[in-house]
Amino acid sequence: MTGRARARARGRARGQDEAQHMGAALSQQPGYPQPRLPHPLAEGDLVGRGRQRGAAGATAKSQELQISAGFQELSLAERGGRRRRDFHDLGVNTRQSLDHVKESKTGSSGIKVRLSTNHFRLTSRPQWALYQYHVDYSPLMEARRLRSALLFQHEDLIGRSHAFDGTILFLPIRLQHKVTELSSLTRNGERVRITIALTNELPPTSPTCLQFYNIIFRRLLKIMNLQQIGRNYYNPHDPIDIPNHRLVIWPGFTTSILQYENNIMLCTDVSHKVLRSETVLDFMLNLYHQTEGHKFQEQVAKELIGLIVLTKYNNKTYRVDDIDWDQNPKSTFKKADGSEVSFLEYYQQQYNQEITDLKQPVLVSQPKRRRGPGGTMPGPAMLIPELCYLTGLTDKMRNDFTVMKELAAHTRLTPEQRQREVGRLIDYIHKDDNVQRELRDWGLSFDSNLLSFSGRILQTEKIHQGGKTFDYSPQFADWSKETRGAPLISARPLDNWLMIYTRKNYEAANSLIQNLFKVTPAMGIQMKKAIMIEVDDRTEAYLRVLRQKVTSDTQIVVCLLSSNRKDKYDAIKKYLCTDCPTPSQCVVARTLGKQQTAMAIATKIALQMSCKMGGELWRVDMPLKLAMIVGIDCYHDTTAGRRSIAGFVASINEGMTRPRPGAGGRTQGVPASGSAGVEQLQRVHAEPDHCVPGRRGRRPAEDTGELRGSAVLGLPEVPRERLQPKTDSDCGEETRERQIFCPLWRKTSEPPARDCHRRGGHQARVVRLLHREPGRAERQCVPHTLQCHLRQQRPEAGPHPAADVQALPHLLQLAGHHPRPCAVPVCAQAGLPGGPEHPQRAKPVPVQPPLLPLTSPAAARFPPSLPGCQAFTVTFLGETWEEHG
Amino acid sequence: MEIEEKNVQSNSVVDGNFEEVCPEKIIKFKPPLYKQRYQFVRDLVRRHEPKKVADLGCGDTELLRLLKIYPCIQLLVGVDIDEEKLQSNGHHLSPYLGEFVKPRDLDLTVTLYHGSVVERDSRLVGFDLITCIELIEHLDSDHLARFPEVVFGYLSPVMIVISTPNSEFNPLFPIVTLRDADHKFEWNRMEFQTWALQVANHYNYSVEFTGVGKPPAGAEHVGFCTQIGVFRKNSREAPGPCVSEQHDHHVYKAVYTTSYPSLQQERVLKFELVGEVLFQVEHLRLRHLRTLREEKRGAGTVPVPKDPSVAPSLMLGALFTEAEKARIENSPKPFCEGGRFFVPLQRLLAYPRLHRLPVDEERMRSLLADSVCLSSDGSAVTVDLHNTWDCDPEDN
Repeated sequence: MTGRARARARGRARGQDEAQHMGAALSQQPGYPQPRLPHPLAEGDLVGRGRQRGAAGATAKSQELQISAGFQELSLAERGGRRRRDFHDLGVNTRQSLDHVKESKTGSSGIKVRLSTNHFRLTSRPQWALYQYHVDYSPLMEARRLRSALLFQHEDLIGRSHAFDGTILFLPIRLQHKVTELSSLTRNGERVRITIALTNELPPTSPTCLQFYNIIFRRLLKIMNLQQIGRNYYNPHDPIDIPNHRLVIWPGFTTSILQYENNIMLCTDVSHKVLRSETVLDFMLNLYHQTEGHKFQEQVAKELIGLIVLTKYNNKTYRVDDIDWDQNPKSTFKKADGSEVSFLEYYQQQYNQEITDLKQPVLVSQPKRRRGPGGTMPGPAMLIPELCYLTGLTDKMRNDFTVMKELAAHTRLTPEQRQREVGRLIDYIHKDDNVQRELRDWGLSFDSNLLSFSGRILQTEKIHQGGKTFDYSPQFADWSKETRGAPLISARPLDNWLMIYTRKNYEAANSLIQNLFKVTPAMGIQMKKAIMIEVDDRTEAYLRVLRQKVTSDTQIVVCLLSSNRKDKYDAIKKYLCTDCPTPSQCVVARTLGKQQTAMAIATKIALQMSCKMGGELWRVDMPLKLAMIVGIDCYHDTTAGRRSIAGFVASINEGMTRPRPGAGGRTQGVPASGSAGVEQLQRVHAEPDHCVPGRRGRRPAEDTGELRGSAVLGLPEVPRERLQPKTDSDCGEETRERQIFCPLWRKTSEPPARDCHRRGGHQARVVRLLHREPGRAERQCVPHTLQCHLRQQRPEAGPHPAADVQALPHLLQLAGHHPRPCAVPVCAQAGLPGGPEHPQRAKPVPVQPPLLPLTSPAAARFPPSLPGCQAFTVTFLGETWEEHG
Repeated sequence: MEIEEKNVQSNSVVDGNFEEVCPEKIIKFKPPLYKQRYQFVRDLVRRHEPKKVADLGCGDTELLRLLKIYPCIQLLVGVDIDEEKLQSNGHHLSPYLGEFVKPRDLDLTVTLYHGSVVERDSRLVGFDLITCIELIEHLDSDHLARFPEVVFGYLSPVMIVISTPNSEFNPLFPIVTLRDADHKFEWNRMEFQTWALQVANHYNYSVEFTGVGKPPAGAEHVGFCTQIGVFRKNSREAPGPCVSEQHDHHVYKAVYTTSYPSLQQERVLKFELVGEVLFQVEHLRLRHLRTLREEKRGAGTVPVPKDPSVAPSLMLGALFTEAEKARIENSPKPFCEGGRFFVPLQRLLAYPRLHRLPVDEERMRSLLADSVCLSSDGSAVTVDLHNTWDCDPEDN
C-alpha cells in the first residue's frame, strides 16, 4: 500500500468501516481480542439495528428471526466505546429464501469457464465450536498482563490454545464445569480467586467466530515471521531493491477471513509495500534548494503534512501532522518517568541512533487513538526528520515513466503469477510446523487449493453510435477503431472555447487545433476556432488568464500544460470547478508530440471534451427502461482535517448516456450526502425534459477518487433505505480484496478483454460474471446483492482501476434467464485516468466541496464534469426487458 | 535510579520482569529494576564492543531485542529451556523494515537455541560476552555445580556477566521469602562473592562486583537489590584443546534464526551506494541551480550570498568537520557541460555519507555501472542539469 493509500485506509477506518475491520484492529494486540466483544443480550432484543424501519423492516424482521436466530445474541450496537457500524445486515440471511435468487445466480447464457478466486476455504472439525468464557478476578486485578499471567498459571486446565483479552477467554474446549473457580498467587504472595464462566458456545459461522478467526490468523502470520505494516503482512526475507530510484519493495499479503455464503473463507491477495531510502531530512534539504528562503517552511509543510513516515529504530509508521520549527534535536522533552532529556540523548541512549544535523526541525504526529478503552489520549509523537524515512510514492515518481515501469515489472502480476504468489501463503501455512500445530490445537485447517467455480463469458454487446450498430472484438475491449468516422449520438457545437498554452507549446497548440478540425466533422461536432491565449508557464499566469477570459458563455477551456506538475493542474481545476464552474480539458503538451499518434489523441480529446460539455458518445442496448443510475465516489482528504468529499453522477435519460453530476461535502461518511444526493437527483428527474425514473441505482466506490467502474442497481420495490450508501461503500472496500483468476486463459496469458477494463480509451467495461460460490454472505452487503470484482488481468495494460459490480437479484435474474446476455459495461465517459488528459490517478483534485444543490438555479450551470466526480454511464445490454414491479 | 515509596496497591508483577512489590509498602525502582539490569548490560556492550554475545536464559528475548541495535555485535545468541517462549518471541528479533532501507555496516545473525545452560554446545564457544541475567538462582544444586564448568570452562568467553538477587535486600520487602516461586536460592553478598571468586580463580577469570537497584535511604547497608558479578578472562590465549576436541558438538536445537542485511552484502552495498550517490548528486545539482539563479538575479544589485546553504530564515544541513571540509575541497569539483551536470566520483566519495561506505573509486564505478549514468571516461556521475520536475521557486 502506498503511504497515501494507507492514509486513506486510516481515514476510512474511523468511520463506517470500523466494524468490518475489527479483525484488523484487534490484531494490534495479537491474540487478545479487546474487551469490546459482544455480551449476550436479552432474547429478541433487536433494538439498535438502525435502518430497519417501516413495513419492509417489519417483514424482514420476522424472516430474520427464523433464519438467523444464531445472530441474535449479537447486537453489535451494544458494543461499548466507539461508534460502531450498524450491523443490521448481519441478521439478514434471506437470499436462499427469495425465489428470484435461487436460480438467478448461476446464469444460463454465454460460455462456461472455470474460474478460481483468491479464496481458501477454512474448515473445522465436525461439531466444532468455540467456547467463550467470561473471566473475573477477586480481588479485582486491573492490568491486563497481570490478569493473563494469573490465569495462565492454570495452563494445565485451560490448555495451550487460548485467546484472552483480559476479560473474555476463547477456548477450543469445553471446561468440565460451567463455572470454574481457580486460585492463583501473585508475585507478592497475594491470593487471587479467578472465576471462569462459560457464556457462549459459538458455531463456526458465528460472527464472533469470524473475529476470532482473524485474530488467530494474524497470530499465524506472526509465527511465520511476516511483518505487519498497517493491515497487511510482508515477508521481510525477500525484498526487491530498485536502487536507481532508492526504493525497496516488499512483497506481502492482505488477508481477511469472512463468511461467504456457506463457507468461511480466507481471502488473500498480493500486496507490495514500497519503501524509500530517503529520510525526511534529505527531502527537506533538496526542497530547500528549490524554494525561496522565506517560503521554505510553508513549502515543507505543504509537501510533508499528511505523509506517512517510517521510523527505523522502532519499526513504526507515523503520519506527519505538523512541523515544529521552534524545536531541534537539542530540545528536551519529559520522559514517562518525569526526567528531562534531549532528543539527541534520548535517541542515542534508547536506540543508539545518531543525529548529525542539529538544526533540523521536529515533526509532530498526533496519535490516532486513545490508550485502551476510556484511556487518556497520549501526547503527540515528536520525530526527528533525519530518523524518519518516507514511504509510498511521490507524485513525481508516479508520473515518472521509468519508475513506474520498474515498479510494474515487480508488482504487476499476471493471473498465473498472482495465483502462484497467493498460493505461496497457503504453502507457508501448510509447511510451517508451528502454524500447523496452532491450527491443529484449535481444530481448524485451510484448503490447499484456491477456490474454483464456474463463470460465464457473455456475448459481446453491440455498440450503437450515430444510427449504426457495431460489433467489436472483446479481445481488446476497445471499439474506437470500429466506431471511427461515425457521428456521436449527440454533440454540442463548439462555438466559444479557449485554448491556453505557453509560448513554448505554440506549435503543439496549433497542431492540436488543426487535428481537432480534422477529426470533429466525422463525429458530428461543429467546431469554431478557439480563442488562443498565450501565457507564461506559471500557475499564477494561468489563473490570471482564466479570471479574465472565462465568461458565462465559455463552453470549455483547454489548457495545454508543459509538464505533469500537479500543483498547476490542481489550481486550474480548482478554479474551474469551484470558483467559476466551467468544463475544462487539460492536456500535457508532451502527449501531443508524437506524430503517429496525434490524430488518435486528438480524437480522444474531442470525445472527452464532447462528454464534458454534455454530449453523448455511444450507447448499448438497455434492458432497463426508466432506470436511473447513480454513481458515487468519495475522496478522503488526508490533509486539512481529513475531510471527505463525495461526488455524484446520475444518468438522466433512457439510454443512460447523459450524466448529471453533483457533489457534496461531508465529514460523517457517505450516507449523509449520499441520501441528500439521491434526493436531489430525484428532483432533477421531476423536471419535464427528463424521463422519470422508475428505478435508481448507484455506484459506490468508497475509494480515494480512484476511478472504479461499479454499479449497484436498485429496484423500486427495495425500500430506499436499502440503497443507502453506507452498506455499499463497505462493499467497495471489501471487494477490493477479491479477485477472479482466469485459469482458462492461462496459455495466452491474456484473458478476453471483456473481463477487464481498458484504460486509455474512454471505455471501461465489465462483464457480469455469474457465479454461485463466492457471492458475499449476508454480512455487510446490501442484502441480496451479488458482486463480482474483476481486476484488470492484462499486466501490460497499465495500472488498473478495479471494477466492482453489484447488482440486485432482479437484474441477475434478468441476466441469467434471458437468452441474450445482460452485461454491464461501465463507461467512464470523461476524464478517465490514463486518457490523453493529464492523469490524476490516485488523487483527484480535492476540490472545495462545491455545495451546489442541484435544485438551485446555479445547478443549471454546473459543469457536467468535475475532477473527482467523473461522469459515468452504466448501460445494460440484453434482451428488451419488460419492467415488472 | 531512585526509589519511590508509596502506600498504594500496585499490579506491576509482569511476566517475570517483575518489580519487587508488596501491598503495604512499595519499593518501586525507577527505572524498573529489570530495565536497570538491561541497561547495565547495554552500557557494558557500548564500552567493550563485543562481536559475539550470548544471553543464557534469555526468556522472552527482551535483552536481545535491546542489544541488536549495537553495530559492534555480529552474532547474537539466546539460549533458554522454554522452547515455546523462544518460538513465540522469535519474530521480535527479525530485522525491522528500516534495516532494509538503511542497512547496518556489519552482518548480524540472531539465533535462538532451545537447550540447558549446563549442556555443552560448541556453537557457543569463543564468545566475547555471555550474560546470565537472573539465571543462576533458578538452577538446582546439581545444575549449579555444573554451570561453571560449562560456561567458564567450556564456553570460556572473554567476559561473563552474572546477576542474581541479593537476599540482604529482601527484608525490605515485607512478605517475601524468595522473590520468585521458581528461585532455588537467593544469596547474600558474601555467599555470591565467595562462589564467584572461587569460580573465577578456578577458571582463571578476574571478577568485579557491583549491582543495580540502590537501597532506600537509611538502609544502605543491605547493598544493591540485584548483585552483579562481571568476570573477565585473564589470559587471552587461543582456545584450549578441549574446544577442538569437542568440535561441532551440537546439542541445542535452533528454534529461530535470522540474519540482517548489511553493507557486507554486495546487493545491499549496491543499494546503499546508489541511493547515496543519487541523493548527493541531486543535492549538488539543485544547489548549483540555486546558485545560478541567484547569480542571475543578483547580478549588479544584491551581492550573491557566499554560502548558498545558509538561508536567512533557517539553517539546515549537517555540519562538516574540518577534516571533512578539507577532504571535500580537495576533491575535483562538480561541473556543467552542455546541459549536463557532472559530479566526479572522487568528489562524491569525499562526502561523509559516501566516505563511510567500504568502497574505493574502482569498486564504486563497477557497482554504479548499471544503475547510474556515468561520464564517458567513467570518472563522474552525470545527470541532466534541468529536470521537468524541478520546482521553480518563482512559480508559487
